[in-house]
Amino acid sequence: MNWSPSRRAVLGLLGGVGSIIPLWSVYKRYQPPTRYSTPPPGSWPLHGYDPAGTWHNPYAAAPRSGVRLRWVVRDRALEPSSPMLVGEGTVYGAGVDIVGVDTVTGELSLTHRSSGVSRGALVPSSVYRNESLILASDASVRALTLPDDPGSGTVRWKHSVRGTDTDVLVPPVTDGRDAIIDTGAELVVVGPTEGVVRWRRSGSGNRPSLAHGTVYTVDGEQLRGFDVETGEQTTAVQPSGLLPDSVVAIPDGFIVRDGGTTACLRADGSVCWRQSATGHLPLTSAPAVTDEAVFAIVPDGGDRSIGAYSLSDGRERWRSALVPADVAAFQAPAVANEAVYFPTADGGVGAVDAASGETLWQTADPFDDRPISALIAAGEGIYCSDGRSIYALGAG
Amino acid sequence: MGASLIDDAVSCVRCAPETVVVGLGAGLFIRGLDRLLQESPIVHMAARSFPDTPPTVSVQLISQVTFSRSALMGLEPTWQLWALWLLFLEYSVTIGCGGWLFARLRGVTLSPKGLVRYGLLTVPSWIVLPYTPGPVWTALGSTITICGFALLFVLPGLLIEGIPFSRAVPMSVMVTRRSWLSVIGATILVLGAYQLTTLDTRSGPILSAVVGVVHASLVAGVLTQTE
Repeated sequence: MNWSPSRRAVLGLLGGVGSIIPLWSVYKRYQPPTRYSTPPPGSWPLHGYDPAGTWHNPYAAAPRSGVRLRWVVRDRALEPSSPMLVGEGTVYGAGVDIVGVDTVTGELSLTHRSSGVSRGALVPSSVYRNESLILASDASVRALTLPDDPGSGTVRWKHSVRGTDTDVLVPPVTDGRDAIIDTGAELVVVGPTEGVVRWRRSGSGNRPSLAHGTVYTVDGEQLRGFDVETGEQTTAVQPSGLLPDSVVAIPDGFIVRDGGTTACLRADGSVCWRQSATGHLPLTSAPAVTDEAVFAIVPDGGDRSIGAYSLSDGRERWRSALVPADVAAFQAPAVANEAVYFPTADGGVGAVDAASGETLWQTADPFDDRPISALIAAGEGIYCSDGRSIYALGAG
Repeated sequence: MGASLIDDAVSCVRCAPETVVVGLGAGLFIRGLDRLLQESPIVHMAARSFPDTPPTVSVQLISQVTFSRSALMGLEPTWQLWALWLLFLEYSVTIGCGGWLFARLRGVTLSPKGLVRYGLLTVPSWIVLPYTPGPVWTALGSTITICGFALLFVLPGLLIEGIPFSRAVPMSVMVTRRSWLSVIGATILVLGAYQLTTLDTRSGPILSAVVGVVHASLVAGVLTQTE
């Protein structure tokens, strides 16, 4: 070998090796988003409010007395069964159109059209300037990078998923670091920033509940839990006498629904308490859960009402006189500011006191279409859609 | 491809065995960058390579992962710089290593002018070829590609020797016409070997560096025979 590297070659080699240093140092300083159990104040970033799906926003100061319409954005292809999301001063609605509206001014900040109906969840990122919207449809899951200025956003990554023939889409669930999509055929966990699929399991077609690093699902027979990082099954219980179709993980167990029955399960699947109401609900509705009580739409004779049960022993506290609307799949009343908010049977929206069940306010205006989506409460506002429009309500 | 071409190519490598070490080093470097990108929070995807895209006549240190354009939009400035720096390093090392391999195996001094010309041959193909629509590429067919690749087979070697494009392109065509059997054989060998390196995502860049040395030595061998 007669080659002796020149000084230029040695310097080039050192430069090449040294050029890795900035790459390495930025990479090592990267901190993935922190997993949260309660989303940041002022937001409602996913269906059910938090990863567990409690529908309880402890930070919101939603109106307890009369409300007025603050703004409305009309003529969009939305879906009443796709509830709103709120993050960083913007409310989002997802259907065929994905729409973002400034919570204060009502001005459009995002208009993205997709080929089919989608459900969304907002995820933070320490790598991208803005939050991203994880969108799940019956054939794909994708991440939409939200634009700085009003625009349509950019699809950052996309994966195909196996869907089912049903037209009921399960919204994605996130804890900030993981995005969970249950299509019915598949349960898929994706890293929402980089879009890497971590694992896939058979799905249940119900909204998963994510708590304590575990993804809980119910498939009408079993309640299963999977480690969110590895996908390893950690829980498999068969609740006695129940065929649960929705689940909310609580610190010591689960709140499940089986048609009109609401029940509390211990971690081993045994029943702590159960409350059954006679009558029929056309679709699965989820419960709302606070530290003290469980709120659920229950059949009430030939009608419906909101039922409140003590979390500790299941004692019925009250039933609302205000009649809730037909429930949409996976939806529940929203709980905030010591009140329970829900769409009403007369085509409007209303609120009852969380402690007594007394009607606080109700309004039939200004909604154009029915049904109205589940309500969400973020900041001082209440938001909903009716399939064509997004409405923002505030204290009147 | 005659035995004499292989003999010439082998003797070129024998005269400059350091090319194997440097090629492997560059392959390891690209593999390291691939790994860093795979572990990073930026969206990445499998890089398209031959036969999904048309091949380039330059030495290819085949990276297995790359960014999609949409992944770079909306990034924090630090991460945008990070991604661009990573791409810059990957391209620089591939061009620098390729240019150096051709120069060493031909026994010429690597001049800045030659390296720039070699870069001008390489960079546009990186920008254009990966985004060639699949149906267009399929319609063109591999026969046309092999012919095109063969006609320009020695072009990178000529550019590194300091010959301008205007003279190097017709010279390359002339060399191919003169020893077409050897060049077609070398083309098939090189393209086939590059394609094999894409089968294993982990060792792909390192194996492609070895193929790159073979590629450069075959170009040097053809040019030596023509002399």
